[in-house]
Amino acid sequence: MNQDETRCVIEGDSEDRISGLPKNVIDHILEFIPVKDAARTSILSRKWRYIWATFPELVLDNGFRQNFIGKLKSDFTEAVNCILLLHMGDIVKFVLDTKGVFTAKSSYAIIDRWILYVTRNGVKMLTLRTSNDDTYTLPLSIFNCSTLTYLELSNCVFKPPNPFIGFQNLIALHLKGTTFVPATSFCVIKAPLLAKLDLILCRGTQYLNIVSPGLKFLVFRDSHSYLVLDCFMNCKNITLLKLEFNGVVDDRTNDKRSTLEKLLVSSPALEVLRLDSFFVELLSARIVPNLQPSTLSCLWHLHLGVDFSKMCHISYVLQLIKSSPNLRKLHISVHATSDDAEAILKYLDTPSCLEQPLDKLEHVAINCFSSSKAELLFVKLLLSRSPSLLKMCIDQLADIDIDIALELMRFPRASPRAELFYSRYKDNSVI
Amino acid sequence: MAVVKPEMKSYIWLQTADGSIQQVEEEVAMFCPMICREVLQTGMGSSKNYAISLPQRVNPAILGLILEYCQFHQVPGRSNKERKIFDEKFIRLDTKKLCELTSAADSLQLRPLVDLTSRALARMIEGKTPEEIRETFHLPDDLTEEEKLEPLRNMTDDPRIRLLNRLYARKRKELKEREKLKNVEVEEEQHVDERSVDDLLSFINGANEDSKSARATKSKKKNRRRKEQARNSSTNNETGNHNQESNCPTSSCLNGDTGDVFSPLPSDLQVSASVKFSPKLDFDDGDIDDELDPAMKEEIDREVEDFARRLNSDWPERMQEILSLGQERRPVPLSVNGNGSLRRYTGLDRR
Repeated sequence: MNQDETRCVIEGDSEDRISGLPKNVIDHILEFIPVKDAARTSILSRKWRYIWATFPELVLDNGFRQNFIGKLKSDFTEAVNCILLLHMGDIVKFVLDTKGVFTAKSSYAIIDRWILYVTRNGVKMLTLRTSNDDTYTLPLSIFNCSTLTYLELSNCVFKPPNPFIGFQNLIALHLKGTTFVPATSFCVIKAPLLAKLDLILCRGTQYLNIVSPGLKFLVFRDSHSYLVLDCFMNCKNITLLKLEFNGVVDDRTNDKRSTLEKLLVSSPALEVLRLDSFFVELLSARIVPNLQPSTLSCLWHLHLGVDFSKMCHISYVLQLIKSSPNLRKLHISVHATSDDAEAILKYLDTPSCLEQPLDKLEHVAINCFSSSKAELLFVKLLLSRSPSLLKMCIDQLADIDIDIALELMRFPRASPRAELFYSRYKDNSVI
Repeated sequence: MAVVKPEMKSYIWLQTADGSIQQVEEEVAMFCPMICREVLQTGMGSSKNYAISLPQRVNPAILGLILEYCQFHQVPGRSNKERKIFDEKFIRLDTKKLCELTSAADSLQLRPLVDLTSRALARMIEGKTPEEIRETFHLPDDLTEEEKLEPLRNMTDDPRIRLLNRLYARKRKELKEREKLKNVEVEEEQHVDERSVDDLLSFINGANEDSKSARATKSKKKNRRRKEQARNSSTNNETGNHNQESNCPTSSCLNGDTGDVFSPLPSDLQVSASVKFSPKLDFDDGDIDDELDPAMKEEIDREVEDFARRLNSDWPERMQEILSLGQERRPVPLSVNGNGSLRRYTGLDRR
């Protein structure tokens, strides 16, 4: 070290601005840098020596794994071992993606060890993604970790221990491709602070019993087995509910329907509701068809999967729309349709099916449009009853039909500002 | 008393750390959460006498930049694309300004601007070699070569290994003093630099290093560092200590730790051989293993295996062991190992 450099260091380097930034700012910068480059900052200068080592996030995700393509599995495990050992202090966020690295069941012990280390170091946000072919059973250390606030798991086997005290601090739980294996008759998960629950492509959800009275967001889709909704009965604060189900259920549909109805009734704060055609079918097959569902006064975004060949679907959809006075966005996915149902066409043609104007409705999107008469009448109805409408977006799988376009253009519009978009289906919706 | 301008706008008065006072349109200033809070909670900022004092990190030039940012973004009608274009042009600043801007935005809690500048700084760091980064940010290259080669101190080190390392370092030094009397040339910085980066990378990527040589290299590096520190402290005491203390200013635990590690050591070394070596000693890489006493080598191997076993064992057992070790060797290991074990200890208490 020559004299000049020494002097600079003593006085506080007048040119080196970045090392003087507060730690939280430098940590924020490190958040945007991949692990490999972030680790290299440790040799930049004396001040930077331990900055990465004390950075509380370790994101060993897809990008990190790319460094090991074509290398041995032992290289990957060696690297993760090194990183964990060199780390100092708490690890608040840990993301690990092991897709394609571990194929043998015997090597799951390695992942178990890493999770053990991380749970001992105060991890709050834990994300673990394994391959689709893996059957990785979650270790006990996850279930015993009381510091977790965010847990995201992909393709794991979720088998809680028998006296499972639950996740005391968990706020968000995101499970994809998870298989639930109950220890007793049910998989009971106590999560008193849980606000967000996502269950996607899961198996064994019929055993699930989640105790989470403060739940706000519930998303359930693409699963193989039905989700028993009874455990959500006392969740009064649900604001987002998205239920989609493609499978087959046994009988007892009456129970399921009443449960779902009760759920909708007991969620006065519901803001976003998405039900695919399975659930619409379930709800529309009620015994008393003219009973109005209760008012959903907070609901502003409604997404429904509708079968336009079924009268009960259409009437239920209209009823839901009528009982949502603050509805702003309406999204209809056409599940099926038919051109022949005279009753439906007649029904939609009468103005009394939707009398009051939809004052707040601003956006309407209809996808998988198939240009049937019923759908066209539906669009016509909406256009004539929405004085505040800004956008009506219609997507269809086939190519655009000029005649249909002309017909759509001719429909009278209650809103002078309404724009009509008619296009071929793309992946991202226009809304 | 708001100053009523002909355009009927209201203004907020802001005072920067150097005392100068500026007058800013209300909606522009209120875009900053910190100013917003000050106005709403304390009612300050309404006149020149009651100007809101901004945090120290905000100087007038940077305040100008921040207000420019706020002025653009507080207008609600702009599209995302417009905002993005403005942002990209806005952050084309030199690194000094960018760092000042990040710091100022952080103190004003202007989160979107902090994100924007942090990303820009991250882009400057990502994918560059350390030399390039040092040049961009004017960082001093003040790590010794072995500090670069040993990426980070291994906090779970067994204190007994360290003690053994010190013992044979002393022995080796005696041997060296007896044998060699030549001065060493200062190693080429450039050459060592490259090697250190690759080493670090390969270390992180888990290269198949021979475990023994890795251990030996590690311990050799530690000795060199201690020697350097001893040299530094004897010749340039203040700098040495200041270096260590300025290492981790925000983490008091680490601060105490680094301070402790280096101060007792010179005294330790002085106890045995008197520190009468020339400041520049030659350390040939290959010689270390040969000069090791084979018995000591074995012991070290055993210790390291012990450490590996301990790493895999149950936590309570480990805690016991560490605590019992800590009581044996009070001054040094508790601070060294203490960072690992003491921190964990408080961690357990917290939970």
